[in-house]
Amino acid sequence: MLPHDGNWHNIQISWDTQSGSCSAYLDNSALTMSDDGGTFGPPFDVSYDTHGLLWRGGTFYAPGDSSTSDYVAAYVGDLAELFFVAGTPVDITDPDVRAKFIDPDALLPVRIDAGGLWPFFDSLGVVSQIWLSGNQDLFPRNYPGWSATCVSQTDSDQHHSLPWSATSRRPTATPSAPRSQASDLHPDGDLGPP
Amino acid sequence: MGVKAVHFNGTTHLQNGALPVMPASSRYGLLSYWYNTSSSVTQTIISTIIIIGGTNRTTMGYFILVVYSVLFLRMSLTLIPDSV
Repeated sequence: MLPHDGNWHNIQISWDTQSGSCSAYLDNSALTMSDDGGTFGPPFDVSYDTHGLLWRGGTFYAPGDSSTSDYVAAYVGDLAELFFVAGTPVDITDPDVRAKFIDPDALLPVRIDAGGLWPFFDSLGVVSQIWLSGNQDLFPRNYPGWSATCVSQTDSDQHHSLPWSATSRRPTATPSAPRSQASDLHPDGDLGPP
Repeated sequence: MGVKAVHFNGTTHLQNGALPVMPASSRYGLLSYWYNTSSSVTQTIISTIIIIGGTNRTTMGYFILVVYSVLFLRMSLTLIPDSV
């Protein structure tokens, strides 16, 4: 069961549709996956260029969907620092890889560098296709140059900001995978140097 | 100092309005985020990623469903059927 205790928690999930494998971690501890009654396999690749990509946060059935259900409820809570990466194998069973997203000792986010990139992307040269970060104005803006349809979130920073870990590493910004005006997207400077 | 977050109130959601630049084809995926909730409503969706082809879901795809409840964890990596 996922905790809903009013504290911040980190979810990491990686999958391979060819092998049917899927790994998940909650706060740096492995979770057991269930298949939810679905069908696994046969092995396949996802053709992102010809098929539709639909991503939703906070709900499964959007208003107006004909297939509405009371099976699930919309999310009530906060969300931060969402990454979705396709096309690159990321072995989150490796503690060093998980440590790119969560400090293993403090169980808090690792510090974002001055260029707005996480150490993970700096070190591996991987660019996240979806990276949602910041307050209610900035969170729906993917990086770079892409926006989601955002429906009235509120900025929870005043009440629930994630503290930086005192032990987090601070990498050097690199221009290897530039984001569009990352610093401009965070004018309050919260993602900059302490 | 802190990482900023957004709040969902139960009647709001976030959805992509356009396609980001994606690889033509891939077997791998990664999803990571931070969440904070004290809601005890069972079977609440936090996030989904759905890859489908066409309105009838006639091609292969998958969805990652992260749900919490007071009783159990439920996640899935599911192949959407070839035909409906």
